[in-house]
Amino acid sequence: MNKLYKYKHLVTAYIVSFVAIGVTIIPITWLFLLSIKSKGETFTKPPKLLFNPTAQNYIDLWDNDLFKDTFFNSVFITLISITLSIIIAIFAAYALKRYQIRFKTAFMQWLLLAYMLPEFLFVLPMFAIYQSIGIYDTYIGMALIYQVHVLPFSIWMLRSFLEEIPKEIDDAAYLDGCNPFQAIYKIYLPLIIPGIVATAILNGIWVWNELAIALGLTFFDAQPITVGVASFRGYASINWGGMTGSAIISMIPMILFAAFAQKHIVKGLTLGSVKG
Amino acid sequence: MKKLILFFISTSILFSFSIANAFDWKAHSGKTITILMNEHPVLDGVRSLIPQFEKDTGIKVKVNALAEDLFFDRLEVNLRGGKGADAHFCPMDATAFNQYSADLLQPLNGFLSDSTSPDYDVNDFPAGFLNATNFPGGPGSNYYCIPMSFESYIVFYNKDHVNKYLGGKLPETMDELIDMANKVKADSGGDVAGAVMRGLRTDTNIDTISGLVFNAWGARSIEGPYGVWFDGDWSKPRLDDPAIQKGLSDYAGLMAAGPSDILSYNWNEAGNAFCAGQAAFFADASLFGPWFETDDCPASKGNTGYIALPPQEKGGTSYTANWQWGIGMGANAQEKEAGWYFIQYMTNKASEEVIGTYHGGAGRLSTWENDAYTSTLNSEYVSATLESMKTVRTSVVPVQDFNKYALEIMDVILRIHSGASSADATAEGNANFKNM
Amino acid sequence: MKQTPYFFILPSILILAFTSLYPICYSIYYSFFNWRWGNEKDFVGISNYIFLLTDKDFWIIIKNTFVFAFFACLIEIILGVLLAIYIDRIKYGSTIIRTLLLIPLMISGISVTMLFKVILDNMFGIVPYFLSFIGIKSNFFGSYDAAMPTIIGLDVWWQTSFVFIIILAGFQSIPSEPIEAAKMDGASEWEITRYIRLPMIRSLLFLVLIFRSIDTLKVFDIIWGTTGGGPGLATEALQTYAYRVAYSFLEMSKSMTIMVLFSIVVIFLTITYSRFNKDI
Repeated sequence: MNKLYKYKHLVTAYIVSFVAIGVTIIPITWLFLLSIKSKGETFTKPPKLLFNPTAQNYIDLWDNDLFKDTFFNSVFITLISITLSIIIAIFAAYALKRYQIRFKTAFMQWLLLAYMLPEFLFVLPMFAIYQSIGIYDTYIGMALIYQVHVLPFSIWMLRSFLEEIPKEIDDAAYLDGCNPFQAIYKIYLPLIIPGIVATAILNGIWVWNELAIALGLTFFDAQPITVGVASFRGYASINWGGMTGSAIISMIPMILFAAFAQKHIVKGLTLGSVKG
Repeated sequence: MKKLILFFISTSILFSFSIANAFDWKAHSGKTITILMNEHPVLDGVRSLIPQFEKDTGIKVKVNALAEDLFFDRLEVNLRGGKGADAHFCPMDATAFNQYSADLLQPLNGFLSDSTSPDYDVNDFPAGFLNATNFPGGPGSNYYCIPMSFESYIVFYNKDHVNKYLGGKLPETMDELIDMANKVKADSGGDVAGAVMRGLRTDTNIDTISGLVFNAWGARSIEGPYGVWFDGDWSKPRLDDPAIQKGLSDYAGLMAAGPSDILSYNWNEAGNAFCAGQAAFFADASLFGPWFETDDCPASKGNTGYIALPPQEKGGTSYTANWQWGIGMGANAQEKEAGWYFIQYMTNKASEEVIGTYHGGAGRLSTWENDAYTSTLNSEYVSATLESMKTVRTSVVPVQDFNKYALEIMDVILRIHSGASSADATAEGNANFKNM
Repeated sequence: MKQTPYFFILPSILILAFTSLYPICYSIYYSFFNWRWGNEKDFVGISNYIFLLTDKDFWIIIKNTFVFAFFACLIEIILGVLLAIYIDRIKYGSTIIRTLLLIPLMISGISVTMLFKVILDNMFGIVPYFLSFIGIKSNFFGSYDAAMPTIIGLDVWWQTSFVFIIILAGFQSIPSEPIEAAKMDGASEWEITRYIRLPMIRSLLFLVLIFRSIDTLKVFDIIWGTTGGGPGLATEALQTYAYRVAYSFLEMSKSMTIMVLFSIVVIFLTITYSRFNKDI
């Protein structure tokens, strides 16, 4: 009686999983199939399931001046954003953990508010000042504005990872007479590498996928891949090759992350919400 | 010594003589320019000529092409940034006027007189076309955009559907057109749309709408700059004028004979539907003609007919609107001289002959007399377009923010389409106009 | 050194001040003007606020945004929790399942819009094709009535994994003793879920609610990419409207006024949530 019971629930669990996976993966697979269809085979009624695949759409995307640049722009912007946030956050996280700071609660509250603010709020104000400072349409300009979202997240994450370090190590470091820089570099940093990786990946995903701010603050020099994909967006656009191919290209790095780093991502998401 | 002096004098005379007569296309060789354009048949034509341009001038071209709705947004951002595009697709209407008023556009007269190839002949463009972006207007004004294509608003029909559902008969009045479109839709059980139109709620439909409204307005004069929508004064909108009510109702009537999701159709989707043989009639820009005759449209290739907008009364005169796309330059362009070379190259006689075949709306008068151009086009299309050019009037209304008024006019049509009477819908439109 | 901690926090404060305080101050300042991205900038007091708050279209847009947020959150949370309940039972293959279900969360909003644009396309899309076999005909993005539900569907497809992953982790960290004990007592699987598992993840549920609710209010990508706010105003949300006001109408001041009002709502919600959840 109990055995049947157990199987029934397991079976329904597997059925639910298959359905969920199907709903998730089949659309993406179809998107990919569309991206390797030629124009004549795409616009058929009814849609064709069997066809001659072609890489022409991807070749066209490579020839597309706008799109080609956007991929590399995204890579640089993402790397700079992550690096900047981790470096700044590690010091802040250390300070928050190790010392008594007077305005700690206010600071934490500010972090949360900055993280939650709507993206479009930043676009128009930064447009003007970025032009005058000269960081409009630059990698560093984008990395800087993205800090408003990735820095709070980094601080929370790194702080919670630091808090997991047992007190004995703290005391040992103090007794050894390290100055704070040495302590961070020699002792804490190595211990929280997994945490840093998780933070970097999650922030990287957010930056890579961001659109609204990029639309407002980049143009020919620094527009990221989301803007590249968006350039094919016409409300009744017929360039399905560009739309599907560009979407697939922008998805690939992220899907690779999911495959190889899912453990980190999951840990990051759960920790980020709990301690956020 | 004397020989040397003679040598120098003669070579310098020869030299200056040759400068006066030879235009150096390679003067800016090695530079790179960035172009901001809209996905449009004109761009396809331009793209086909870019390799030749790069060879002739040594200037490298980077094309940034965007789908239309996004293009308009990005153009405004581009013109206000630090480093603008060196040439951009220019909507020759109130948008350009607004940009000129904000000092964002580069005047072109200097380039036209100093750095232009002698065979360019800018006066080959009809004065009406060039003057669409001649600001502020009158002596001492500057041209800001050079026309690349114009369009007038005509009716395309699918010959197979007309033969099958209408016995090959073509409408002779606008009301007949609407009835016939409804008949096709009913008799085909909804499989074939009687008509496709731009049904999307956007201000950019204003030019097609103007075509139908001018057709109802008839021979009455339109006093500029107020256009047909205002009665000699910006504070006196006259949307409830019977002719305007009729024109807007005509538009809504054609929409009603369309497919069930007509409200999401912009020109791309409507054109695509006609191209795929899904509709009997399509009232819109003439420059779609060449597209429907390409291999991309097997259902409409060789199967498309062209007529001017049917007049209001049998045997009457058809009227319509015209609009142009051009090419211009922002005041913040980085490589202005090289950008000008691109502009004049792409709009000279030789290039227009090629680009014109992509969109069928060549700006230069000489191109319409050029067999190399006209022979590539369906002859019925050429005659329909030329006929419409006789009574065509500009849809441009040079008032600031005209796009908000244009959106309201589309809203009037949408109200009529969802059942309001034209009197009520236009009265509400007048009220909203006054509030803007 | 007593100043060390403040030194360490200083870069964070500077950057956050520049990237969060400056935009708010700038936006508030210009919301009192009539700037239209040209040379004219006149002080107009609170007339932008009055104009917006008395504009019936603006209230429709506010309603759209909250309706979207409400239904998207509701469906995502219910589906996410259900998924977590079922997959918590699986031992073999749960990692692969989790990885595959993680994928939609990792792709950008604009990619999601392209995907659904081609799949739901009325003429050539594969979904309308299959739906026609069971007699369902919808215009999805083109219909006044179906557009918003379709967009909600997009967000559900995209973001449900967020709820799922977090709740699943919560379930997996529940100690096994109470569950074993309940099983000994003869409790059914669903009774265990209802009385033991769910209560233990209550705080996680609340956290998920906070994140999803504010995130859905801020919706931009999936609406901007598919319908642009149409047909009519059926899917126009606050951020897409602010975008349109800025770039189509060039009404910079009005756009910033909208964002100031919206930010006030977000700040209010965030602070309210903080009060409820003492951990934050």
